[in-house]
Amino acid sequence: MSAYGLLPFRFLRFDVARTLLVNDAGDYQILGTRDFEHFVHHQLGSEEDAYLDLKAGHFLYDSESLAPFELLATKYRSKKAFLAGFTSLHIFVVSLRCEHSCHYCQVSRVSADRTRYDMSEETARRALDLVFRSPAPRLKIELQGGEPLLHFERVRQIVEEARRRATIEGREVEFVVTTNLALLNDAMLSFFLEEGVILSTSLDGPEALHNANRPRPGNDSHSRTIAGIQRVREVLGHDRVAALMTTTRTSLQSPVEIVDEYVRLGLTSIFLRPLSPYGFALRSVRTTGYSMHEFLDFYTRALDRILEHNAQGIPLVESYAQLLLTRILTPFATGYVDLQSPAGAGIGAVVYNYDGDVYASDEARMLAEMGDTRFRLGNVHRHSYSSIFGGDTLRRIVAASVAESIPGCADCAFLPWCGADPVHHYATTGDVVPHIPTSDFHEKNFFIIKHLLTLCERDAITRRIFWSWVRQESLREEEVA
Amino acid sequence: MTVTVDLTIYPMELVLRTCHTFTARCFVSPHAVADGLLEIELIAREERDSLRELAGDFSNALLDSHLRALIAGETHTIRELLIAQAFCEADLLDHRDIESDESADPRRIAG
Repeated sequence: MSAYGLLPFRFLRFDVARTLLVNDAGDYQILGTRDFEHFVHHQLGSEEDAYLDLKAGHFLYDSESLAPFELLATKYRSKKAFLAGFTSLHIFVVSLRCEHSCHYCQVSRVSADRTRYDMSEETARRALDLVFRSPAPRLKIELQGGEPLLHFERVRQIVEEARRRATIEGREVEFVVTTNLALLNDAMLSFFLEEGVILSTSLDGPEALHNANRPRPGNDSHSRTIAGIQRVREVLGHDRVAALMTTTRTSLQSPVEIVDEYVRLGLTSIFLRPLSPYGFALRSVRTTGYSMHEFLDFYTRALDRILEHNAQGIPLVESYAQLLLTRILTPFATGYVDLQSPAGAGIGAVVYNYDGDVYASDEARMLAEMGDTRFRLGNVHRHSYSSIFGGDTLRRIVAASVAESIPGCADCAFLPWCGADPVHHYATTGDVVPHIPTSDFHEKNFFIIKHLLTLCERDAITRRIFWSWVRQESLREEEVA
Repeated sequence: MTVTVDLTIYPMELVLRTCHTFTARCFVSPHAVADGLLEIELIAREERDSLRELAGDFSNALLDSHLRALIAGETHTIRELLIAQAFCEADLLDHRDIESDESADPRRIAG
């Protein structure tokens, strides 16, 4: 018996014999039932292993603890560090035009000849004025569409002007262009090389699946994407292009083939994403949609395949798992807007639409394309920085996304690792505050976090693989063995 | 299936919080049946769900909710202090209130 105090934590019955404890900084312990009951009733002996683990993990303190509150407060601050810099990711929709006609497209694209959906030079300049009002020490500018390479002139202007302003102000700025690569040419590549631009593309899997998901004139999306990836690697370097995939109903049958396609192409990361309930994705839900349960079954099988490759020394990271594992295994924030509380919509990332409208997130913009503008923060031509970023709309979004105050999230052991997405909740249920027991957002995150913890507990090889993802280091073959 | 809860053991707020967590699995209807007693009616959404298991899970969840409340009560002050210390350098004032002039009424108190 010993005198100790409890530090704040939440718990979850992990399985019939074990309980998971997570403190506010995201440190966790898994205890057997006996140890857990003894711990919470102050009956754990100070010489017991569980006592020492709980003390080291900041779940209890005693008279010999060294500054337990200060350490925990520091860790908590690290976990919430995303708040300090305010908006660092600025997304420019330089055009809504796209020559692809993907069924699931989230951006509600219009056909390629309608230039009125292009961002003007003046709109881009005014948006950049707002970007450089942000106090964030490091800025990231993402250029997307539609297909941004259809309006390359604006891409060039934004990158050049942002680079010039960043140099004058002594700030760091990073550029990402999200493109299907189909229109990439040598002049564009030279520009990207000169400016250190990173490219992000879409690859949905093997040729037949990719082309079925992503139709374009000539039905050659897959071959153009592959050719584009190879050209980017030749000119910019192997690691200057990454890919992500969107899961359609057709994809559900092929988790192994999709993962193997990424390995075949030498890609080192894959982002397994479900359909979003926006844009054309919502309109075509009958042909492309599926339940979250079906997606999670797909995700599990794909993750198994990814781990098999890693165990053979082939590096391939699943990006969503990497984000969650970073939150679970380290005290650091990830900056992923939907996995933080409050959510990063507007305060971590913001979207400037082609017409100058400013949205708290890309999802908010897609909702506006469907006629609902409630998450529009303002317009670069008509509103000031303080009214856009300090106005009631953004305040309401932030207030609704504090998971600590959401029924069902407040008590959840996974809260320090999870977050909220009020725009998604609104789009799926009509309310910015989710009904957690039936929320697909909750179902996805709860399942994946628990699955990752189960895998971590299962064997040492998986733990080593997961740590290599968190550290962003490749495992050597002997380390896997 | 009904579960009877003694409100002298479990506060109403805690019982309702537990009810909320079961709303995906079943339709939950609480009824006051006598002084200090609450009857919770649980109707499974899926026919295959065992009512006996549902009632058992509910009772266990109620116990866990109770334990959560005890832990939260014991650690509440520390949690407040930790968060205050973590954000001690942050400016938490609402500047709409402090930067307005004497005649302003930002919270519409005057109606």
